[in-house]
Amino acid sequence: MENPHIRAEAIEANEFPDLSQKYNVSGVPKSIINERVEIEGAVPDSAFLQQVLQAIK
Amino acid sequence: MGNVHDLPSTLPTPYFAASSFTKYRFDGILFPSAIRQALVFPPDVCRRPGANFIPVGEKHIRNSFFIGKQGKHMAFISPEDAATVRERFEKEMVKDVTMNLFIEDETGAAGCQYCEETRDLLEEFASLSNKIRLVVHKFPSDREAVAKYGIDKVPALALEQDKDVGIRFYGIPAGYEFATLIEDTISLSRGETKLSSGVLDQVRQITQDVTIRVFVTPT
Repeated sequence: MENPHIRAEAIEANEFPDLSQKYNVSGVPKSIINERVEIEGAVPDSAFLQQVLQAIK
Repeated sequence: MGNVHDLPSTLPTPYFAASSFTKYRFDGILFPSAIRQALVFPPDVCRRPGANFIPVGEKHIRNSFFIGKQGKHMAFISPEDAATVRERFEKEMVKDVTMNLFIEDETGAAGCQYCEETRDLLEEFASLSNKIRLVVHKFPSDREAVAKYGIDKVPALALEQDKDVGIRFYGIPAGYEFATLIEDTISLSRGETKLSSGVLDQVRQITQDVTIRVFVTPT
């Protein structure tokens, strides 16, 4: 909503095992940003933003 | 559930500070609310301290379909949950939200595990507010819609208010994901996110394309 350049997908890991395997998902939540940056587990929103900024450097 | 600041320190840091169940501070559509929903734990996770990284492989999907303890009138949404959600929608929704659901077509070639269940769940969900519209598309046969929303797997849900802002749910939005769905719907309807102003400013300045994929499970 805040930025048209950004899109977000929630993927249910059990139903898409190939994708889960591709991204090496051994636990959830696991976030992948631009195929580059991975975040496992919970992080505060400011930290998440930092990872997004890192991914688009 | 009280204010997040009252939560014991053994709980993982919520991704976004949450207040009560009825007032999740919501990150908005920028980040998949799946993240938020997965990380800002719904009330029942208070019984599971430390569960901030849940091992994949727990096949509790069937159980997690029943969001409340007894699903009577609706197959997926308990009367208690339905009443709570209905009330929230009544209070908080402003504009109409459209749910574009993609399920496998009759050939079954898409090999979809929970397409019918997803459809049933979302039909129940849509019935909780007259501002929610469910449109069901077939994958891959509804080619125009599939191309428009960029769908490559099912079940897939694209939420929009007046335009597609790039929110997708892949797989049945049950369990924890259900709370995310509620928040997303309200947020879209109100046209507002609850990102902190500092984060929001930086988000708005991003000019590159960003795709965030969040893997979640219902439990």
